[in-house]
Amino acid sequence: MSEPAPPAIRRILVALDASAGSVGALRAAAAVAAAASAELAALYVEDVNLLRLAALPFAAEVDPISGRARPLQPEDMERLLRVQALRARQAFVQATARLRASCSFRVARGRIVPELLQAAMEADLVALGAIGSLSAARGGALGSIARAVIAEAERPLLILPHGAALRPPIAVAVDAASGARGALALGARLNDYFPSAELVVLLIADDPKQAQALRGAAETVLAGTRTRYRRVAGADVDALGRTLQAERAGTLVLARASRHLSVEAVGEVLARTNVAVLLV
Amino acid sequence: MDATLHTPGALPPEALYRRVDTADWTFRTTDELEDLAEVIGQARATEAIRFGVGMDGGGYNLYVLAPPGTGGHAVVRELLQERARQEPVPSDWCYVNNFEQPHRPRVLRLPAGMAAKLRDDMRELIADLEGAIRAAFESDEYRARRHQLEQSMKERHEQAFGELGRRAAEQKILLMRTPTGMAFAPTRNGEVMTPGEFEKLPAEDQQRITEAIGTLQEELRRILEQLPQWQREAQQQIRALDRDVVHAAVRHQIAAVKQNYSALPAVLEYLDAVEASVIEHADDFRLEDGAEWRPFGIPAPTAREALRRRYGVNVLIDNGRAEGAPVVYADNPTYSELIGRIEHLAQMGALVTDFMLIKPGALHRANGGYLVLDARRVLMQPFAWEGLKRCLASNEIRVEALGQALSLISTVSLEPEPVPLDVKVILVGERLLYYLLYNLDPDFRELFKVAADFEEDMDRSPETQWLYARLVATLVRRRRLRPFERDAVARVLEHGARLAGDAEKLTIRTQDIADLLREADYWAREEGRDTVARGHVQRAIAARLRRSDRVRTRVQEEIRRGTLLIDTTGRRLGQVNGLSVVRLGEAEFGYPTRISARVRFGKGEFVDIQREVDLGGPIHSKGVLILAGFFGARYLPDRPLALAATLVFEQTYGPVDGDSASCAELCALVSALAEVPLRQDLAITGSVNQYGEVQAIGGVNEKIEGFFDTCSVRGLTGAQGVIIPTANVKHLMLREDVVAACREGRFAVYPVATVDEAFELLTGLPAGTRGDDGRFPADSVNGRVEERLRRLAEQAREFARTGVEREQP
Repeated sequence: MSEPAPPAIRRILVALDASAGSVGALRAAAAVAAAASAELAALYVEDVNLLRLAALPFAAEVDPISGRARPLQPEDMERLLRVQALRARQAFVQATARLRASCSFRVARGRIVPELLQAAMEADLVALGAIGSLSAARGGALGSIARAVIAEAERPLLILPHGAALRPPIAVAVDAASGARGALALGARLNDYFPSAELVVLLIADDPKQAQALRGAAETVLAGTRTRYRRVAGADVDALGRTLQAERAGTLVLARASRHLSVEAVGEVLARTNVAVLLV
Repeated sequence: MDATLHTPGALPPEALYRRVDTADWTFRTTDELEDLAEVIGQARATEAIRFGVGMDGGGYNLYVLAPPGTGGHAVVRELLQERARQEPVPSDWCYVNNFEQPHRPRVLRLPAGMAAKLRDDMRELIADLEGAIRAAFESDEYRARRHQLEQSMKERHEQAFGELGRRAAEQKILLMRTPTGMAFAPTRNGEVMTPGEFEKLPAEDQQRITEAIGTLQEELRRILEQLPQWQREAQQQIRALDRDVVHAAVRHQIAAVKQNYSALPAVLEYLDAVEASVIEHADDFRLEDGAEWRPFGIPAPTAREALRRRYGVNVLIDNGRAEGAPVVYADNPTYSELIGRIEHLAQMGALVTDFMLIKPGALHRANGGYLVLDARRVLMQPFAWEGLKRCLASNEIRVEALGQALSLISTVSLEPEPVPLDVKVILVGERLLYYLLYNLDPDFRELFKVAADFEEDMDRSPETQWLYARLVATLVRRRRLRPFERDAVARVLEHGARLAGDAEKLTIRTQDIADLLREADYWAREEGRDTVARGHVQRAIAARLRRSDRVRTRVQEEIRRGTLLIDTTGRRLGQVNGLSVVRLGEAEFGYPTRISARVRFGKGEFVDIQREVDLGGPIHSKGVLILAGFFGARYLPDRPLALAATLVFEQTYGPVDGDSASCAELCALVSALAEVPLRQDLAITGSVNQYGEVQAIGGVNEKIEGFFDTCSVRGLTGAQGVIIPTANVKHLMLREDVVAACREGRFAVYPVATVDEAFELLTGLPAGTRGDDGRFPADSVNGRVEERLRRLAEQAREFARTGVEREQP
């Protein structure tokens, strides 16, 4: 546990596509931006693959309600994307109306994931919805784009499932393998944004002795933060989910290096608890 | 021919006031007397009540004809309570929810005391079920099974789309989402092909891709079509799971409650319905009570309250602590007080109701027993009488809002299942109402087949006087008054006879007696005495008289001052003192009225001035016509009556009725005809028939006292008195001072049986009877009358003759 503390949040990127999840992410990002006086940048990517699809001679889309196929024209697709961008912009204007920090809304054209990853390089925190409007219709709590971003982004990621919001108490999951320092520090910073909230540290450890050690390490990072500790026995997602429910946690902070962290595990947590997840 | 005087003598003082002989009474005060348990003097009525109450079957309800003050209500209640105590306690009744048709609540009949138990059991059951159902849904088993169901649903989705995606990928085709749907696109190196790249492909590849995409779209359509079906299946599975879980949680608890009611099929049926409903609405049990929902600041019922209402038991009648059958007296018998009502709650500006808001009426409370009602009050309340009759006719109580029945209001209302009715209704009321209802309301005869008629007085005999004394003792004790001394009881009893207006009767209007007792007690208390003496009773009677005395005093004052002309001395021609009685509220008093007669030659007309101006009632007119009949038959029956007579009540300014002055009128007429002056120191009352017999009249005591008062103000001369019909002697219960004056010879009461006796008293001349020659003695009253009439008849004949002569030329 010797990695440096994460840098202060100065610039937040939010991936907007007008879906409910992304609007939730926008609100959470705006809240953090307000609290941290950070710059808020929103990015809407017009998917070049969709434009290409529309240009194909046989292009057609299947209506999800009627199941009927209808032909697609490139101009139709252009218009659809414009409309979606406009809705995203409206949501952005609404969410940032009272924000004093500087805000920007940008529309880019390209492939979604690379564009996002590119933009993320300039941000200290990236917020996105768990399921976007372009994710494949296949169930599950994580969409294809969120999956790809989780797998490849290097910045702290705030993922909001449908209907969730960034709210206390903030729970930080800590285990022996994780680079918990960064997670704890960022968790403590988020916690500071909510007056009188108590930080919850979940010590994932099979035996109390191990938990005690983890707690000792955490206390050094969290000096001055009101904290309560809970041990989670058994390193499975079920146990974590139950504890989160018991603690009525609103946001879970996870270190990427955690033993539990895989895209699948994050998806499971989101499916069961409907909490916002912050990956550090 | 009899020309001697047969003047009747004055009545002895004993005849004027029949005292109670207390010689047989050994007690000193009423404390020594036993209570009177039975009702005295109402044998007929009590028999009728016992019969009516004992008769089973439809229509044997009672109407008790109880004039005010006879204590009809108290007697009825006492008799009923006595009987009701020995009768079984009736069932409990409650309303419960009808889960299938909530607007028609079901009624449950339970043994006495069980309704409250059912209510408590249900309350406990619902509280237990709330916990049990919530626990069942929070159990790990339930969660695991539910998660598994949701998971398999999800997997089915993912599998279907995953399979489709894979099949597409095998042909290098990508399944993607567009902003408004889904589409398939050919790929090249993981990216969607551009149109240029696609066109560069060989024609057969282009053909193949196009066809593959067509097939895939068709498959996607099939999957999308199946989605709702899958969702429905999953929901059904979850619902079945929920149902199973709830059923398991609920079954045992409801079975435990059912054990308490195994003998009551209706309750078991209800509990089955509860079980089905709980399973159906299990979600309601899982609602958290959380923050109160207050739209616009108005508190709305929480989910838990709604739940408790739905499974509540509205105990309408709880006979758990009753002993015997109920006897209910409905004090204010409005429609809804009798039949029950359905109340409403205002919720968000709307009026809502449910089975818990059904309130019982007096009929519910009296069901299985007796309901006592005041007839006049029932009839005065709009629709109450009709509502009561409907219930009695149909033998069931159907609670129905009046506004609803009349379509006056339209809001949510109920049609509760009717309650079977088994009640005996006892209406207590005046006689007039009974006869009106009997004649005008055909239902009344069907529904109230027994009439119990209360007496207002009873015979006076040593035995009944003894009972009466005990009644006084009972009333005294019940009202916690000072004990009455023996003489005081005797005075009360004597007043009872006076109230009955008959020395041989006693009033049984207990209200009047009770009032007198209380007032006498007041005077004893004022004097600081421990017992009530005769003097106190006397004082109470006098004080009561004095309180209502204003009008009497004014009349007597005007006589004294000469405004109302009444002579009390000397003799006058054709003028006599008649006597009138006035009843004003509780005051009843008599006073003298001058009656005068004038005669002249005429054609046999009797002009009753009172009748001519429509101030004489029909009975008065009848009296005058009888008088004319008597006159015509007694004097000169074989010749025309050649007189014109006028009769008038002097100084009366309102209607006069009754025939009690006909004797006086006859005397005035005879005086005028016979030209014999009448004594003005006598007053006379009595009616006369066509044979000259004097008949009884009413208010004799008041009349005598009225004339006595007039005379005593001017100073009693010793010659003054009142002539009354002999038939009225038994009614005499005169005031103490009148009796005293008579005893001292300063006043007198003369009974007469015939008008002749009255003539002799008033004129001092013999009346005279016809001799063998068919003539009355010349100097008798009758003789003088006949002589005058003969002269008038001669005059008429003469007049007729000379009148004809004069007209001849």
